[in-house]
Amino acid sequence: MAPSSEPGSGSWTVALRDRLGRTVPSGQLLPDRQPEYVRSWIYVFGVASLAAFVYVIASGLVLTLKGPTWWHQSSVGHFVNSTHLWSVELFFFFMVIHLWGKFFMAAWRGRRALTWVTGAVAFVGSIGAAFTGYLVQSNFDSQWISTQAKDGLNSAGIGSEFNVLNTGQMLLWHVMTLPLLVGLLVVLHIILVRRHGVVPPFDAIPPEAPTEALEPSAATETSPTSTENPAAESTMTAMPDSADPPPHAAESAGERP
Amino acid sequence: MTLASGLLFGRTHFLHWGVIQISLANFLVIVLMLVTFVLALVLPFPHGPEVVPEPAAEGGPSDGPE
Repeated sequence: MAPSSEPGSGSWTVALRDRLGRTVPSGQLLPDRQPEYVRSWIYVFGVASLAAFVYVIASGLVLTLKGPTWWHQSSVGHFVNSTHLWSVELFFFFMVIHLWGKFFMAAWRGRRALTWVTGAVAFVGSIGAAFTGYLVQSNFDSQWISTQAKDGLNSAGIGSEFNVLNTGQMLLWHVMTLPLLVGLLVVLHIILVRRHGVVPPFDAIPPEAPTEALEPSAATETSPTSTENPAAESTMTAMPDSADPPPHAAESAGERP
Repeated sequence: MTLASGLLFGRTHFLHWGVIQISLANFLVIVLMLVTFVLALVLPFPHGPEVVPEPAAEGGPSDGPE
Protein backbone atom coordinates (compact mmCIF):
# COMPACT_ATOMS: atom_id res chain seq x y z
CA MET A 1 0.00 0.00 0.00
CA ALA A 2 1.46 3.28 -1.08
CA PRO A 3 1.90 5.87 1.65
CA SER A 4 -0.62 8.67 1.59
CA SER A 5 0.42 12.25 1.23
CA GLU A 6 -1.35 13.01 4.50
CA PRO A 7 -0.47 10.61 7.28
CA GLY A 8 -3.54 8.75 8.44
CA SER A 9 -5.88 10.10 5.79
CA GLY A 10 -8.41 7.48 4.77
CA SER A 11 -7.47 5.23 7.62
CA TRP A 12 -10.41 3.71 9.45
CA THR A 13 -8.52 3.90 12.74
CA VAL A 14 -8.10 7.64 12.34
CA ALA A 15 -11.75 8.00 11.37
CA LEU A 16 -12.82 5.96 14.40
CA ARG A 17 -10.52 7.96 16.68
CA ASP A 18 -11.92 11.24 15.35
CA ARG A 19 -15.47 9.95 15.74
CA LEU A 20 -14.87 8.89 19.34
CA GLY A 21 -13.22 12.22 20.04
CA ARG A 22 -16.29 14.04 18.76
CA THR A 23 -18.68 11.81 20.68
CA VAL A 24 -17.34 12.64 24.12
CA PRO A 25 -15.53 15.95 24.46
CA SER A 26 -12.00 15.81 25.72
CA GLY A 27 -11.81 15.62 29.49
CA GLN A 28 -15.48 14.67 29.95
CA LEU A 29 -15.18 10.89 29.86
CA LEU A 30 -14.03 10.74 33.48
CA PRO A 31 -14.56 14.26 34.77
CA ASP A 32 -13.40 15.46 38.16
CA ARG A 33 -15.74 18.44 38.28
CA GLN A 34 -19.52 18.56 38.15
CA PRO A 35 -22.10 21.34 38.12
CA GLU A 36 -23.17 22.68 41.49
CA TYR A 37 -26.67 21.22 41.17
CA VAL A 38 -25.23 17.70 41.11
CA ARG A 39 -24.76 18.12 44.86
CA SER A 40 -28.04 16.33 45.51
CA TRP A 41 -28.82 12.81 46.62
CA ILE A 42 -31.14 12.34 43.65
CA TYR A 43 -28.10 12.40 41.36
CA VAL A 44 -26.52 9.51 43.27
CA PHE A 45 -28.83 6.74 42.14
CA GLY A 46 -27.54 6.49 38.58
CA VAL A 47 -24.04 5.61 39.64
CA ALA A 48 -25.44 3.46 42.47
CA SER A 49 -27.30 1.45 39.82
CA LEU A 50 -24.07 1.16 37.86
CA ALA A 51 -22.16 -0.09 40.90
CA ALA A 52 -24.83 -2.72 41.58
CA PHE A 53 -24.76 -3.74 37.91
CA VAL A 54 -21.00 -4.23 37.99
CA TYR A 55 -21.37 -6.56 40.97
CA VAL A 56 -24.22 -8.42 39.26
CA ILE A 57 -21.97 -9.14 36.28
CA ALA A 58 -18.96 -10.05 38.43
CA SER A 59 -20.87 -12.44 40.69
CA GLY A 60 -22.66 -13.89 37.66
CA LEU A 61 -19.34 -14.67 36.03
CA VAL A 62 -18.26 -16.56 39.15
CA LEU A 63 -21.52 -18.53 39.15
CA THR A 64 -21.11 -19.49 35.49
CA LEU A 65 -17.59 -20.75 36.17
CA LYS A 66 -18.50 -22.81 39.23
CA GLY A 67 -21.90 -24.20 38.23
CA PRO A 68 -25.19 -25.14 39.93
CA THR A 69 -23.76 -27.85 42.19
CA TRP A 70 -21.39 -25.34 43.72
CA TRP A 71 -23.96 -22.61 44.33
CA HIS A 72 -26.50 -25.10 45.72
CA GLN A 73 -24.26 -27.20 47.96
CA SER A 74 -21.23 -25.25 49.15
CA SER A 75 -21.39 -22.48 51.72
CA VAL A 76 -19.30 -20.14 49.57
CA GLY A 77 -21.51 -20.96 46.60
CA HIS A 78 -24.60 -20.16 48.67
CA PHE A 79 -23.04 -16.86 49.66
CA VAL A 80 -22.08 -15.80 46.11
CA ASN A 81 -25.46 -16.90 44.82
CA SER A 82 -27.16 -14.83 47.51
CA THR A 83 -25.07 -11.76 46.79
CA HIS A 84 -25.92 -12.18 43.09
CA LEU A 85 -29.59 -12.06 44.00
CA TRP A 86 -29.29 -9.13 46.41
CA SER A 87 -27.17 -7.09 44.02
CA VAL A 88 -29.96 -7.51 41.50
CA GLU A 89 -32.45 -6.35 44.14
CA LEU A 90 -30.30 -3.29 44.79
CA PHE A 91 -29.85 -2.73 41.06
CA PHE A 92 -33.60 -2.48 40.55
CA PHE A 93 -34.11 -0.52 43.76
CA PHE A 94 -31.61 2.15 42.68
CA MET A 95 -32.68 2.06 39.05
CA VAL A 96 -36.35 2.67 39.86
CA ILE A 97 -35.49 5.70 42.02
CA HIS A 98 -33.14 6.89 39.26
CA LEU A 99 -36.03 6.50 36.81
CA TRP A 100 -38.44 8.45 39.03
CA GLY A 101 -35.93 11.24 39.54
CA LYS A 102 -35.18 11.59 35.85
CA PHE A 103 -38.84 11.34 34.86
CA PHE A 104 -39.89 14.22 37.10
CA MET A 105 -36.78 16.12 35.96
CA ALA A 106 -37.84 15.59 32.31
CA ALA A 107 -34.38 14.25 31.62
CA TRP A 108 -35.00 14.09 27.87
CA ARG A 109 -34.58 17.89 27.66
CA GLY A 110 -31.66 19.42 25.79
CA ARG A 111 -31.36 16.74 23.09
CA ARG A 112 -31.09 14.02 25.70
CA ALA A 113 -33.87 11.90 24.17
CA LEU A 114 -31.51 9.10 23.20
CA THR A 115 -30.08 9.08 26.71
CA TRP A 116 -33.59 8.62 28.07
CA VAL A 117 -34.47 5.95 25.51
CA THR A 118 -31.33 3.88 26.12
CA GLY A 119 -31.99 4.01 29.86
CA ALA A 120 -35.61 2.96 29.42
CA VAL A 121 -34.75 0.08 27.09
CA ALA A 122 -31.97 -1.04 29.43
CA PHE A 123 -34.56 -1.09 32.24
CA VAL A 124 -36.88 -3.31 30.20
CA GLY A 125 -33.98 -5.56 29.21
CA SER A 126 -32.98 -5.83 32.86
CA ILE A 127 -36.44 -7.12 33.71
CA GLY A 128 -35.98 -9.88 31.13
CA ALA A 129 -32.52 -10.68 32.49
CA ALA A 130 -33.85 -10.91 36.04
CA PHE A 131 -36.78 -13.06 34.93
CA THR A 132 -34.58 -15.54 33.10
CA GLY A 133 -32.36 -15.59 36.19
CA TYR A 134 -35.28 -16.88 38.23
CA LEU A 135 -35.80 -19.58 35.59
CA VAL A 136 -32.25 -20.95 35.75
CA GLN A 137 -31.89 -21.36 39.50
CA SER A 138 -32.29 -25.11 38.90
CA ASN A 139 -34.55 -25.67 41.88
CA PHE A 140 -38.27 -26.05 42.59
CA ASP A 141 -38.68 -22.28 42.64
CA SER A 142 -37.54 -22.00 39.02
CA GLN A 143 -39.81 -24.90 38.02
CA TRP A 144 -42.81 -23.19 39.61
CA ILE A 145 -42.04 -19.83 37.99
CA SER A 146 -41.49 -21.33 34.53
CA THR A 147 -44.68 -23.37 34.58
CA GLN A 148 -46.66 -20.33 35.68
CA ALA A 149 -45.02 -18.04 33.11
CA LYS A 150 -45.45 -20.36 30.12
CA ASP A 151 -49.21 -19.79 30.01
CA GLY A 152 -48.86 -16.03 29.95
CA LEU A 153 -46.15 -16.10 27.29
CA ASN A 154 -48.07 -18.62 25.19
CA SER A 155 -51.16 -16.44 25.35
CA ALA A 156 -49.00 -13.59 24.03
CA GLY A 157 -47.93 -15.78 21.12
CA ILE A 158 -44.20 -15.84 21.84
CA GLY A 159 -43.98 -19.19 23.62
CA SER A 160 -42.58 -20.95 20.57
CA GLU A 161 -39.63 -18.56 20.30
CA PHE A 162 -39.17 -17.88 24.01
CA ASN A 163 -39.84 -21.19 25.72
CA VAL A 164 -39.49 -20.76 29.46
CA LEU A 165 -39.65 -24.54 29.93
CA ASN A 166 -36.46 -24.89 27.87
CA THR A 167 -33.82 -24.49 30.57
CA GLY A 168 -30.94 -24.46 28.11
CA GLN A 169 -32.48 -21.68 26.08
CA MET A 170 -33.27 -19.63 29.18
CA LEU A 171 -29.77 -20.16 30.55
CA LEU A 172 -28.19 -18.79 27.38
CA TRP A 173 -30.58 -15.85 27.35
CA HIS A 174 -29.62 -15.14 30.95
CA VAL A 175 -25.84 -15.48 30.76
CA MET A 176 -25.21 -14.29 27.19
CA THR A 177 -27.86 -12.45 25.20
CA LEU A 178 -29.52 -10.28 27.81
CA PRO A 179 -26.37 -9.31 29.75
CA LEU A 180 -24.75 -8.37 26.44
CA LEU A 181 -27.78 -6.30 25.45
CA VAL A 182 -28.09 -4.57 28.82
CA GLY A 183 -24.34 -4.06 29.06
CA LEU A 184 -24.14 -2.41 25.64
CA LEU A 185 -27.10 -0.19 26.45
CA VAL A 186 -25.57 0.81 29.78
CA VAL A 187 -22.29 1.72 28.06
CA LEU A 188 -24.13 3.73 25.42
CA HIS A 189 -26.23 5.38 28.15
CA ILE A 190 -23.12 6.44 30.05
CA ILE A 191 -21.39 7.73 26.91
CA LEU A 192 -24.46 9.83 26.13
CA VAL A 193 -24.56 11.16 29.68
CA ARG A 194 -20.91 12.15 29.40
CA ARG A 195 -21.56 13.68 25.98
CA HIS A 196 -24.53 15.85 26.96
CA GLY A 197 -23.90 16.15 30.68
CA VAL A 198 -26.38 15.35 33.43
CA VAL A 199 -29.72 17.04 33.00
CA PRO A 200 -29.94 20.26 34.99
CA PRO A 201 -32.85 21.02 37.31
CA PHE A 202 -35.66 23.17 35.90
CA ASP A 203 -34.46 26.18 37.86
CA ALA A 204 -30.80 25.98 36.94
CA ILE A 205 -29.32 29.22 35.70
CA PRO A 206 -28.03 29.05 32.15
CA PRO A 207 -24.38 30.05 32.03
CA GLU A 208 -25.08 32.98 29.74
CA ALA A 209 -27.77 34.49 31.99
CA PRO A 210 -26.49 37.56 33.83
CA THR A 211 -27.10 37.28 37.55
CA GLU A 212 -27.68 41.02 37.83
CA ALA A 213 -30.82 40.75 35.73
CA LEU A 214 -32.52 38.68 38.38
CA GLU A 215 -34.41 39.92 41.35
CA PRO A 216 -32.33 40.51 44.47
CA SER A 217 -34.28 37.80 46.23
CA ALA A 218 -33.22 35.42 43.52
CA ALA A 219 -29.63 35.50 44.60
CA THR A 220 -28.16 32.10 45.06
CA GLU A 221 -28.26 30.69 48.51
CA THR A 222 -26.17 27.58 48.49
CA SER A 223 -22.87 28.99 47.42
CA PRO A 224 -21.47 31.76 45.27
CA THR A 225 -21.12 29.35 42.40
CA SER A 226 -24.52 27.77 42.74
CA THR A 227 -26.71 27.55 39.67
CA GLU A 228 -29.92 27.10 41.60
CA ASN A 229 -32.40 29.91 41.45
CA PRO A 230 -35.98 29.16 42.41
CA ALA A 231 -37.19 32.70 41.69
CA ALA A 232 -36.23 32.59 38.06
CA GLU A 233 -38.04 29.48 37.01
CA SER A 234 -39.37 30.80 33.71
CA THR A 235 -35.91 31.76 32.59
CA MET A 236 -34.41 28.57 33.82
CA THR A 237 -36.98 26.25 32.34
CA ALA A 238 -36.37 27.54 28.85
CA MET A 239 -32.67 26.94 29.03
CA PRO A 240 -32.31 23.25 28.32
CA ASP A 241 -35.12 23.12 25.77
CA SER A 242 -34.53 26.26 23.81
CA ALA A 243 -31.29 25.15 22.30
CA ASP A 244 -28.77 22.47 22.60
CA PRO A 245 -26.23 23.88 24.97
CA PRO A 246 -22.66 22.99 24.31
CA PRO A 247 -21.70 19.91 26.26
CA HIS A 248 -21.32 20.75 29.90
CA ALA A 249 -21.86 24.42 29.30
CA ALA A 250 -23.51 24.74 32.69
CA GLU A 251 -20.42 23.46 34.37
CA SER A 252 -18.53 26.56 33.43
CA ALA A 253 -21.07 28.59 35.37
CA GLY A 254 -21.41 26.43 38.40
CA GLU A 255 -18.52 24.17 38.94
CA ARG A 256 -17.91 22.94 42.40
CA PRO A 257 -14.42 23.31 43.68
CA MET B 1 -35.06 -9.98 63.79
CA THR B 2 -37.70 -12.52 64.73
CA LEU B 3 -40.34 -10.43 62.98
CA ALA B 4 -38.16 -10.13 59.88
CA SER B 5 -37.51 -13.86 59.87
CA GLY B 6 -41.21 -14.52 60.13
CA LEU B 7 -41.96 -12.19 57.24
CA LEU B 8 -39.20 -13.51 55.00
CA PHE B 9 -39.24 -17.24 55.67
CA GLY B 10 -42.68 -17.98 57.04
CA ARG B 11 -45.90 -18.26 55.13
CA THR B 12 -46.16 -15.54 52.50
CA HIS B 13 -48.43 -12.69 53.55
CA PHE B 14 -50.56 -11.01 50.93
CA LEU B 15 -52.40 -7.70 50.98
CA HIS B 16 -55.71 -7.33 49.17
CA TRP B 17 -57.41 -4.18 47.96
CA GLY B 18 -60.17 -5.18 45.59
CA VAL B 19 -58.54 -6.55 42.45
CA ILE B 20 -55.09 -5.58 43.71
CA GLN B 21 -53.14 -8.31 45.40
CA ILE B 22 -49.53 -7.89 46.44
CA SER B 23 -47.21 -9.72 48.76
CA LEU B 24 -46.26 -7.91 51.93
CA ALA B 25 -42.55 -8.13 51.05
CA ASN B 26 -43.06 -6.48 47.65
CA PHE B 27 -45.29 -3.84 49.21
CA LEU B 28 -42.63 -3.01 51.81
CA VAL B 29 -39.96 -2.70 49.11
CA ILE B 30 -42.14 -0.27 47.15
CA VAL B 31 -42.78 1.78 50.30
CA LEU B 32 -39.05 1.80 51.03
CA MET B 33 -38.32 3.02 47.50
CA LEU B 34 -40.84 5.84 47.88
CA VAL B 35 -39.37 6.84 51.24
CA THR B 36 -35.84 6.77 49.81
CA PHE B 37 -36.96 8.87 46.84
CA VAL B 38 -38.50 11.52 49.08
CA LEU B 39 -35.48 11.56 51.39
CA ALA B 40 -33.17 11.96 48.37
CA LEU B 41 -35.10 15.08 47.44
CA VAL B 42 -35.25 16.71 50.86
CA LEU B 43 -32.06 15.69 52.63
CA PRO B 44 -29.13 18.06 52.12
CA PHE B 45 -26.14 16.62 50.36
CA PRO B 46 -22.99 16.79 52.46
CA HIS B 47 -20.64 19.40 51.11
CA GLY B 48 -16.93 18.84 50.94
CA PRO B 49 -14.47 21.26 52.42
CA GLU B 50 -14.85 24.66 50.86
CA VAL B 51 -11.80 25.80 48.96
CA VAL B 52 -10.74 29.22 50.10
CA PRO B 53 -9.00 31.03 47.28
CA GLU B 54 -5.59 32.26 48.09
CA PRO B 55 -5.16 36.00 47.75
CA ALA B 56 -3.31 36.99 44.66
CA ALA B 57 0.05 38.59 45.08
CA GLU B 58 -0.04 42.36 45.04
CA GLY B 59 0.25 43.71 41.58
CA GLY B 60 0.54 40.24 40.12
CA PRO B 61 -1.96 38.26 38.09
CA SER B 62 -4.22 35.72 39.66
CA ASP B 63 -3.06 32.15 39.65
CA GLY B 64 -6.10 31.03 37.75
CA PRO B 65 -9.61 29.93 38.48
CA GLU B 66 -10.67 29.78 42.08
